[in-house]
Amino acid sequence: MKRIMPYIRLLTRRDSILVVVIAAMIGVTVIYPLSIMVYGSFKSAPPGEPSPLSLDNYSRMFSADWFWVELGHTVWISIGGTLLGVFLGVSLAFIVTRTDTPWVGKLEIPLIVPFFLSPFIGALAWTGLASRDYGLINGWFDSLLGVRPFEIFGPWGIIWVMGIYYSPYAFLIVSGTLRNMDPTLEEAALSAGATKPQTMLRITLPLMAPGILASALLIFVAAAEQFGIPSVLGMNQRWFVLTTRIFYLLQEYPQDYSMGATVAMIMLFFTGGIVYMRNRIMKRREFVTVGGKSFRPHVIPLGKWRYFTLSYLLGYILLVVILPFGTFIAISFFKFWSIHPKVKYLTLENWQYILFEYPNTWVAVKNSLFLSIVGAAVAVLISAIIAWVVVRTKAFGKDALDTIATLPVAVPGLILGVAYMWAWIRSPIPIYGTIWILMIAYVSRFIPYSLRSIESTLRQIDKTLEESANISGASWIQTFWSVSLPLLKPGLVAGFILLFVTFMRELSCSILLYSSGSEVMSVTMFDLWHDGMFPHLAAIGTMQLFMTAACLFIFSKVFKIRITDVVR
Amino acid sequence: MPDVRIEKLIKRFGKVAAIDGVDIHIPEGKIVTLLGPSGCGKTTTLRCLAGFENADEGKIWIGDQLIFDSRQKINLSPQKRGMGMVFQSYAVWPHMSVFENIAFPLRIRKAPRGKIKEQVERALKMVGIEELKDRLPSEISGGQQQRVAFARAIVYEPAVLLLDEPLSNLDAKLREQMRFEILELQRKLDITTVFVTHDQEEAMVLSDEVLVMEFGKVIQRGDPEAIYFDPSNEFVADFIGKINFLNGTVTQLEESGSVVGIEEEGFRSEFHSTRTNYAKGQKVLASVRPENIQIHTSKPDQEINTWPAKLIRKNFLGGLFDMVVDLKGKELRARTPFRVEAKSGSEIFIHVPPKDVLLIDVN
Repeated sequence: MKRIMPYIRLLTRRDSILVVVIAAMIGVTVIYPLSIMVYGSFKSAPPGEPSPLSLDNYSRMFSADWFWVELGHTVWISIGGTLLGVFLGVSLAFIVTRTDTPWVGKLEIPLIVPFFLSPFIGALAWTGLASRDYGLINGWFDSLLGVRPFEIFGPWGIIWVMGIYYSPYAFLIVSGTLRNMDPTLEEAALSAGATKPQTMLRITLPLMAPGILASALLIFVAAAEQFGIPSVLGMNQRWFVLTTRIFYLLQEYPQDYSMGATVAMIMLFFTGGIVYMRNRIMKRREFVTVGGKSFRPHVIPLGKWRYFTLSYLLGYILLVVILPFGTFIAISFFKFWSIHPKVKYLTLENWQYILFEYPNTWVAVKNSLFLSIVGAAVAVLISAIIAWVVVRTKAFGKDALDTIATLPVAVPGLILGVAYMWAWIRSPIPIYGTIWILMIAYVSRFIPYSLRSIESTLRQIDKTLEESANISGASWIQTFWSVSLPLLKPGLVAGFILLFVTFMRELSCSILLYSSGSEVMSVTMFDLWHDGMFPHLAAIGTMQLFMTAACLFIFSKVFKIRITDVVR
Repeated sequence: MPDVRIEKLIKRFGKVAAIDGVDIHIPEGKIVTLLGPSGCGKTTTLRCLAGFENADEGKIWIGDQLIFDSRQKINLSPQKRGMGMVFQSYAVWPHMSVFENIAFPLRIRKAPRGKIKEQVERALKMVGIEELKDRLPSEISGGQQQRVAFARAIVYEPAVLLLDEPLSNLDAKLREQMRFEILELQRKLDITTVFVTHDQEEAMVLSDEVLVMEFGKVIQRGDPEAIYFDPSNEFVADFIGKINFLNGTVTQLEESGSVVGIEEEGFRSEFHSTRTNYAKGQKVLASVRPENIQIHTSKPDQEINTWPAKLIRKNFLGGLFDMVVDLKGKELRARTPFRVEAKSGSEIFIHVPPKDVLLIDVN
């Protein structure tokens, strides 16, 4: 015992050094910029210029009408988007897991496709379908009935697009809950004398409640911090929410950096509060419902109604994937888009321009690919180290590290962008305006997501599996390489693919931090949108879609996994 | 309390018959055990009885009421069968307190509030967990959850109680204790009970009648002692307890029993058994339980069923000795609670009383 004590002490000390290094890294990339932003919200001058500190910005903001109106807008679209998203997700999950609707097996993959799609492109695509001026669906109604009933621009359009593109979160969480639910919990109610509807109402639904609540809060935060959708569907009509307001304050002349920071503070409290609430609720209400014997869950025979549920599923896929994205791709081949697109306007000029003439295309493609692949790999590596320290060591301060690393979940991308502007726009370190600042922002903002996936995989790996390798004579590095890493692979790959997809479509962070030479594809689309070049941006968007799909295909082959397993 | 009758029940999964023509009668107030290895159809039978699986053929009665008939398309849904069931996973609802879990069946039956409280409290007391009634399932142990599941199954005084391996997730000591508690409770309530298990000891302790199942068929039924002492075939003999088999042929029939010529490689001898009812020339397995093999260090007085042998291995299990003896190349397992002086490797004599030699038909 005496002889090994010093080694143990050394080991724990080495762990603790690791904790300090990682904590410092997160400190510099997250906590420092946010603190500078807090400081900025008390200043009246732009970053880097001296000014006295005061509460002026806050009193100016709280007494302004626009602030209260736009806060109301934010809450409105968040609640609306959440209700629609949860309704769609829960109904899909229930139909897929618990009814005898035909083809559910075949529809499994189409139903998770929306999870990988960019809501920003979704919003752009839907303008081509339901804009009053040039929406295809309005065109159909116009020629049949002489009316144009839909208008995608404005709050209802924002809620619609948010609802359909966030519904996969609810679908995945709730169908997981339903699939893992021990069927004997329901059988116990039936044999206790409850009817099927009673069982549904008093057993199944309450057991689904934590999953529904979790997905509702997740969607609520995502909707509140969304920038792409309200910028496409609201900003041009001067219908603002807090995120688009912040963008406006920072980008439109005369820029008001201080007010931008002040509104960002409100956003931060808003999302932070909800995330905190979510963690509190989830900790209390997590049910373990996984049972011993694996009998399949009870399936409700629907009779004739199963064609109704089938059309519901097909309708969903049609409205969320096929129609908008088909239209979006089609738009890239038209000289211009209208409610009655004509064959004579078909052209390849947009593609020719985007592929060979537009100077930003290939820069953006290169940057997007680099950030997505390298950035995701770096984030997964750091997450793996943090997860290992947190789960496997007794290092001092490891729980604090876990908390700090998860903190960015509560920081909207746009707000992190504001904080980085404040921290580094005038910094002597020449990092602002380079691709590296985007990399740092992406990695630190999204580490919590890969961390969670890797941590849960690591927790499931029984420690004795590693210990038995040790006892058979393997060194810790051999153990890690031949036992831990292969077992950890599913978690690592899932984390990597999740982040890859997220980084490919990232907009809200990049839009504030890019400059000439560090554009990414989403930013290029945003620019083209504001220049009114819809068909051209559709070409870039189409490229983004197919590049993402191709990469996912390659990753699934290289890592030998099924994409459907990534989202489980 | 009514009895339960199952008639010619057949349940197929694809082409495989999980239950292959099973007849079971559970008399009023008795406890009948379905015993068998996993995949023998015992759980499927229970689930058909509960109404969670629909059998392809057969009939089920509770008392005079026909609750299932494949021909007449009668199939009472589980909630109308009025049975109580305890699941292997307990299936205690995690979102309800202990009290609410147990009260659920009464609430479904729209019992008045006062009666619910009274009956739940009586059930809680019966399983000995009164003090846990306000806890959530996540705050109590597995054994306590099991008691909750039990209380929930009996609270509305069902006519029939179904137990699906309720003890298999408990640790050994608790399992033993629960066996007696279940038995006591069953006797007190006088409830017709079907118990499913793969644990033969549990079946021995808990049953009025044991039904041994294999490949979807009931291959022997009887009270626990009959099953143990008179297994009807090789499978039952082997599955229940430990046993030694010796291949042989009946060579002589006497008034006091039969003589079997043993034809094991290296070991050829005569085994005397008190069993009759066998024909001359019939192939049989002469079977001996380990505890019926007597070990002697010197030649005993009895002439028949006595052989010199070699003690190969002797393990002291505390309370009994477990041994392997070599009978000219045939290894036998022997057990005795008495102290064995002989050392491993030494020459000994073994004796088997003829009344302890079972004869099992070889098909």
